[in-house]
Amino acid sequence: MRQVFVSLTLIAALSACSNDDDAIPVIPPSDGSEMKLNGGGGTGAPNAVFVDLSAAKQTSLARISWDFGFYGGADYRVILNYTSSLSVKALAKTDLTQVSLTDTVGISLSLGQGAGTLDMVDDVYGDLSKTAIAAISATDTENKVYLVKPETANAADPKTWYKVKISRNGNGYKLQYARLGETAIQTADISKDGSFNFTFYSLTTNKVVTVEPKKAEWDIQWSYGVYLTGGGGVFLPYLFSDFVYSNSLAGVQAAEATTVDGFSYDTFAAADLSNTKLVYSATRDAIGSKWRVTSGATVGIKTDRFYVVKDAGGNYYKLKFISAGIGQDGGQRGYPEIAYKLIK
Amino acid sequence: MKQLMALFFCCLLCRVNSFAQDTAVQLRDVVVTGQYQAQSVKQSVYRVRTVNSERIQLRGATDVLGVLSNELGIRLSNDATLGETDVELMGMPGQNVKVLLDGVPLVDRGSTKQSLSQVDVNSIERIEIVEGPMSVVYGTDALAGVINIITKKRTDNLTVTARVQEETVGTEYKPFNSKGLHNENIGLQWGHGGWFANGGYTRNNFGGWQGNYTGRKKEWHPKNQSFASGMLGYGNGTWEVWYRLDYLHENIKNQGDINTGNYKATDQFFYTNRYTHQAQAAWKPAERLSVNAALSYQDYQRKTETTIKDFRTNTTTLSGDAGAQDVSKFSTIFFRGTVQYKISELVSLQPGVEYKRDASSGQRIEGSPVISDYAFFASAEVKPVGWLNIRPGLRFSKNSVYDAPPVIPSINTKFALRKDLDLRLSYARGFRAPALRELYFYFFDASHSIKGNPSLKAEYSHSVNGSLSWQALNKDLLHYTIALSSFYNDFNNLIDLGYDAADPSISTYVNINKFKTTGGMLEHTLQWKHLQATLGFLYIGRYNRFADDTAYTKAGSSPTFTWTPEVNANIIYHIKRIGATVNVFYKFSGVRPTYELVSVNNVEVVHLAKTAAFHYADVTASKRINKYLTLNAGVKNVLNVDRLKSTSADIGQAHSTGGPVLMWYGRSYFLGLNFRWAKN
Repeated sequence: MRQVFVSLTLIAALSACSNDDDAIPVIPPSDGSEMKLNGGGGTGAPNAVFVDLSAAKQTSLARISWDFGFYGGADYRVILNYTSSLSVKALAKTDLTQVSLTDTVGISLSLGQGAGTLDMVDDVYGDLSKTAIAAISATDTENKVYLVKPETANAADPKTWYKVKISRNGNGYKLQYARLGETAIQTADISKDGSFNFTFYSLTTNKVVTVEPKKAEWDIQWSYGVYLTGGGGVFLPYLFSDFVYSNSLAGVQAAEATTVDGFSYDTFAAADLSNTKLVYSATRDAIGSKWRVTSGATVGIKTDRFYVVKDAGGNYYKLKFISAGIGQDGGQRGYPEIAYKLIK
Repeated sequence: MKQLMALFFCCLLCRVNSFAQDTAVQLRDVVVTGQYQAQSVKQSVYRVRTVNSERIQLRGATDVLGVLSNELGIRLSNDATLGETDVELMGMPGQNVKVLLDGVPLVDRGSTKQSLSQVDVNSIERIEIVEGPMSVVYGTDALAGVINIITKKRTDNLTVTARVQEETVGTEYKPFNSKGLHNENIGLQWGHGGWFANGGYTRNNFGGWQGNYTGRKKEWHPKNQSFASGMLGYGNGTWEVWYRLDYLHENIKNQGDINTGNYKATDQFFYTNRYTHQAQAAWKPAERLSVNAALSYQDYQRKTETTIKDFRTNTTTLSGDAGAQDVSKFSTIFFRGTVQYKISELVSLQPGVEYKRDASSGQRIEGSPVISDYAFFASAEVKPVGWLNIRPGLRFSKNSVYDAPPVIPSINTKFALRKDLDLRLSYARGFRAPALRELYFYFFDASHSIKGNPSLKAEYSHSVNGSLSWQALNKDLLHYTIALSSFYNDFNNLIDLGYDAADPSISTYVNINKFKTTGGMLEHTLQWKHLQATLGFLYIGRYNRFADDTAYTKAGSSPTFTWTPEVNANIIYHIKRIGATVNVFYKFSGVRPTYELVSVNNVEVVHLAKTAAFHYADVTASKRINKYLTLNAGVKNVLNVDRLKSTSADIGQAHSTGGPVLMWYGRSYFLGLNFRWAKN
């Protein structure tokens, strides 16, 4: 019996427990500014967020609150809502009243997940001379009618699409449109405003809506939006979460600084601005989706890089992404956190 | 480690008893899977492999997968994200393998057989493995085969068992908690007159493995399991009834590293609670008549919790992300009843009925679906002459949701060509019902549009199996058996993701794929005095789905099958004089080629990917210390395998090396004590 007791005691003695707690790391004080963007949450976050680094200000609004943007500069150009899956196709017809459901036969306006072509959206690099809707001509018979499918419309049901014709109207634009299932044509006159890149219009509310801040008052925009995917000369439109557009029309540029090239966010200073390894890009996708990985073995923010943003006023900022709810970065998807600092 | 060494020496000081205990493995292993009554392996019309509790103990196994991984034709695959492991049998994934606990199917939430790793290894009497379809008897999923876990039932006297095992995880170890593997068990078995009962508790604590990660992140997620079980039964000569409850609580922790940008970390927790109730009855009113019934209720819940820990404020909040918090619930009611009636010496009959009701709910399940399945099956055992046994069978199914195959046939035969030579030939149809997930999945977000398809049909297979067993030597101290077997399986209507015909922007499940497996196996079993040794070879061919697809054959043909060899060898040597055994368990798995589709410059091409070969070996020893204690020690994964190289390509980069496949966590050491006391 003693053996039983000794044996059992031994077994029991081995069953004691302890718990190892998380060690709290040494946390240095933060340097510079941080901002949590109000994207509204999720991979297809409902908001687009404009950021003005010099004013430390963000402007958040529903990304599908508009459909067309009418250029405020010298040219007569109309852009599509790039922060949505809105897609268009030109018809040969130029008379809006002559367009009906029969004109949709054989036309698909599906976009993303392998569907659609790049001519259904504007130039993804932001080049205004390559918009999906041709430059609005002074000769109105050259202005074609377009089929338009906003993100909220059904790709399989053309009755939910729009037919749209845009003409010049003096120094501004004239917009005519109707749902393909309806007959009454809506008309709106839109004037140019030089202090904004674009004047925005919503087919849903039938009104001019406020979207972008004044063109000098934002540097980058974060949103779910359209870009491209592919390789080897074959590219397809693809909708990206967490895409970062720079205000290229106002002259904002950005350069990627990587640890491979010897850059460090913490030590980056004015002397580094002249480093030839910093290549500034003036296109809209200068930052784009390059800062994070969302599929494959390792997902998350790329911590080996940050960005140098040159604003329209000639100021330089270093900018990095802290969290985006991708991988296990402690953030929440659709509410990305950025850190930035003016380089003096 | 110090404590353990102290314990080791302390135990050695105890009086060493040298009781001559006969532990030789029973030559005639008794099996029950698919049988009319408990039957010797030799007499069974199915070829059944068994792994007994002695083997489990000698291997120092802490879970079922650790026991099975050494078997031919079994391969494990690990999901590093979820911290779960699936089992593959004869080249087919876990969804085509039926997992049974005392003949009752265990519920799983999706295609992965989590249930296998959620059974307490200490409660197992033996594991029976049958290759080839057994859908006539066991219904859905039994295409590749059946793994039937038989629990310990009764002892004649009160018996107390206990186990403590400490194991390193690679080089990581801390005594009794966190790092390493810690398994403790206490069990009671009792029998008196017609009554019998048992109960047990096990803690299985796996500390995870850091691997290539740093900080808080680990390549193998820490997993803690607690098992409790209880059983009560009564029986006399003509009838027996018992009830058993198995409870599992599992906690898998996926910790994120600290983000030094915001000093936060995202942590994921998966909590599983599983209750498996079963009541079984057997009645034998006459010599030629017996009745069996099994009733089970299972409740399986898995909770996903995602938290964000802020190290600046030392607070933890729940993540608000989509899918970050979820509870998936599954419940199953199951009944199977069979009658065995021996009409004459020539013919026996087994009619049976089965009823199963599955219910589920969760974020990615549309609604709260319920599926009911009704089946009637019957088989006959015909023995026209003494050396011949023919068993034809049929199963009729009706399902409340999907299009069940109305009739499933099978025919198994056994020819005793000579007293020492048995030939088995069989043909069978197998089927797999569409899983709840495939019928009712629902996942829509910015980059996913996936929906279940309630009009799916069952997958089905045609299988031909043959085997020849020769007991080449059968003397008092020398037994030697050779078995040669081969199989061919043809699977149709396999369910895979495809596009919804009505709306091509939505992905859904469709019956689209075909698959085939074929192969041959040669096994040697030797028992000579105190030595038991086995040596096996398996060559298994898996279908290359591009071989017959005209869309891909234009650019060049690829073979119908890709082949992988396997070799295993087990040696158990008993040193009776000192009550010890020395054991070697070895398995080689050859290079595994797979044809896959990769996109090169947006053109899809067929690419041959290879997963590297590996050798796996355990060396263990056990030694009786005294009447009650046995010491167990060993080295697992002696050859220090952790990940396998794979040339599987990443999408878009044709010649990139895909990530290596995580298989183990390197060489590990264990030391265990087993206690057993039985009332005289």
